[in-house]
Amino acid sequence: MKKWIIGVVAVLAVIVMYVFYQQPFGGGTQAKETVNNGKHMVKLKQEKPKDLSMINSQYQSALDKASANEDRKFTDQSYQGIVPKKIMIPKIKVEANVEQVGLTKDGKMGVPGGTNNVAWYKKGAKPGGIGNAVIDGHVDSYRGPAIFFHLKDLKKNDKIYIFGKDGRKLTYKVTKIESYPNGEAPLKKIFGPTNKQMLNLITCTGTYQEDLETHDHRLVVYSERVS
Amino acid sequence: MNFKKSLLVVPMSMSLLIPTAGLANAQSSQTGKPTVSTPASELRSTLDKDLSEHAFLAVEAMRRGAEGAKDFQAAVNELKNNTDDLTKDIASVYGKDAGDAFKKMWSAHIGYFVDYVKATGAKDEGAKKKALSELDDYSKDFAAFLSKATGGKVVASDATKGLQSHIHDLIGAFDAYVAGDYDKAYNMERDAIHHMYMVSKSLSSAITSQMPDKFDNTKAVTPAADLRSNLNYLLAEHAGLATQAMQNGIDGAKDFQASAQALAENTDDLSKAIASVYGDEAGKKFKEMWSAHIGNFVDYVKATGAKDENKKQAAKDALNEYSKNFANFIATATDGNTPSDAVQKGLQEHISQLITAFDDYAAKDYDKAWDKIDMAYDHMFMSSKGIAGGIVMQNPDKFMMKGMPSDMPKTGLGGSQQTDYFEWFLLALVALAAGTAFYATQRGSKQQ
Repeated sequence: MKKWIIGVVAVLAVIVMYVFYQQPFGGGTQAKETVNNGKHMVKLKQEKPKDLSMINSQYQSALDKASANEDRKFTDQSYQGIVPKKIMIPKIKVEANVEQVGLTKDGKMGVPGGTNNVAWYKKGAKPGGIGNAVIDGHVDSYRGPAIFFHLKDLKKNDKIYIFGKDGRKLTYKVTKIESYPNGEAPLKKIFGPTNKQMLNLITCTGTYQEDLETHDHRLVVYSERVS
Repeated sequence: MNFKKSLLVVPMSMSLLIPTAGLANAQSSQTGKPTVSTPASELRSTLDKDLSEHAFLAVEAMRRGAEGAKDFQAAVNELKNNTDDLTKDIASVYGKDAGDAFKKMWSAHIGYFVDYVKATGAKDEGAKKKALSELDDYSKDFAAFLSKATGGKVVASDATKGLQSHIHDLIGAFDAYVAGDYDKAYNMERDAIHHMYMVSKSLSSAITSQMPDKFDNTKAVTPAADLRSNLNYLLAEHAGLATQAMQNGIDGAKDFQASAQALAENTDDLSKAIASVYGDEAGKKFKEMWSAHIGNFVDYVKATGAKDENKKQAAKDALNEYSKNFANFIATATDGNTPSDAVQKGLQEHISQLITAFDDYAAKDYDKAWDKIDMAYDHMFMSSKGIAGGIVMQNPDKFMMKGMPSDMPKTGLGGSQQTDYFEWFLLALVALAAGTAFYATQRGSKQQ
């Protein structure tokens, strides 16, 4: 009986020594432990070198395809601003289409072609995005009042609505109304960087100076997005 | 053990950050020169890092859940660490209570994604729908939380839409993966990562506008901060996708080609970013070097598969050579504003992180592997600061706020005030006509 056990142990010992001699501490041979009826058994699994020669050509073809691909367009618009199409200010009965302007030859912000339209400054921020979005409109034409004639009547907390091409509606609340003598408007505050989502409306105010062909003041209505 | 290593890692990778940051600070508000290192830009970058890594880890963890991968738990643990980082960010601004409230909601939403993964595995449509509806409720609740915390500066409806888009990206990436549409899965993963940079842009602006004094009245959205954030996105995504492509490579995974494709698209985007500053020729040169270094990593993966130590060493040597060449390229391009030795140290760090993350994965030490992946991801935000800082210092004019008019518009023509001679003329005409009519009627009556 005992001799039989010694014999088994001796055979096992030889096997273990052989295995250890072949692969001390793994390295190519994976020792995998599995649980079998509560006893631990050592199972040996040979891991062969892998032929991964195809991955170079797959990487090369990925590179070629990437170069040929069109620029990717991100579909997500949730935090992007919108190009304004329409403005509504119920308090002063303004409902107008929004044109787009850049800079004039002498570096001023452009103005809308029609006196019943307003214009968004396309070199600045978009409404609904972070920054100062700026819209201007005429206070009067050669003949009489124009679209922003009553802008000066707005008060703090009055609402301004902007509509995008996709029908998105943005709501702004007036935070401040300021009048500045010509040449003294704080351009950085009106057009420069801000961490807020601002919409600033500009028109002329004060007295029209015929010799200079312009009013002597500019009116700025500052508003911040609320929804 | 990892702690000690991370202590070692930090000072080394900081070396890329310090020289430029020091110089950039010296030129900040006094001179009015643009800089990437303002308090607001730092906040934005921190949120860039932690939010985008959330998206990356969430996609990868879900993918591992789908295939029952052995490193599923390690990926989930890393996702939890990321939640802790985000909680710290929120608590540092709004206090501990807000941090705790944030953590509760945020962890719950990760739980709903896990529910969705499990339900998919069990083919339980009812449970899938339930998870989606929980996520939908979460998007509204969490948007309300953000809006309230920021005093309405984050508009609740925007945040809801943003969160729904995030959910759509993650679920879409997962569903596509399960359906075997790997190209779509990786495209959606890239969308998911990119999307988070809009969230951090919006959130950092809201926080800085809410408490301007805490951030020196600096702005989170400037051309310089935008450049830094764009590089944050592209470089961190590079590191993240590279680790996944390497793992897929050694596994001989079905999605290797798609993950290599995503990495190549990222390279293309990076090259275009470089070309936009230094021209097409530089962009092309950049792409060549960058693609080649990924090629060296591919060689390393192949040599690991073949158990060929010599070829592994050859790939490492090639990467070392690349780090010198690329550091010179960046230093030359930025006229030394991003110093060569700083870039080289940063790159060697990057290479060693990717190699060890891969070696650990191949040795099936998944906790370690994901720890390194996290380090490799975070490291890129320092590289990005160093490179963006150099570019901005070299080209201050390109990063001034553009599009400021030099004067206010001329929005009046005087018609509401001006004396209108035309009206006098009309009045005179009317008077004349009236006079003529009067004369005519007088004559007419005389004739009768």
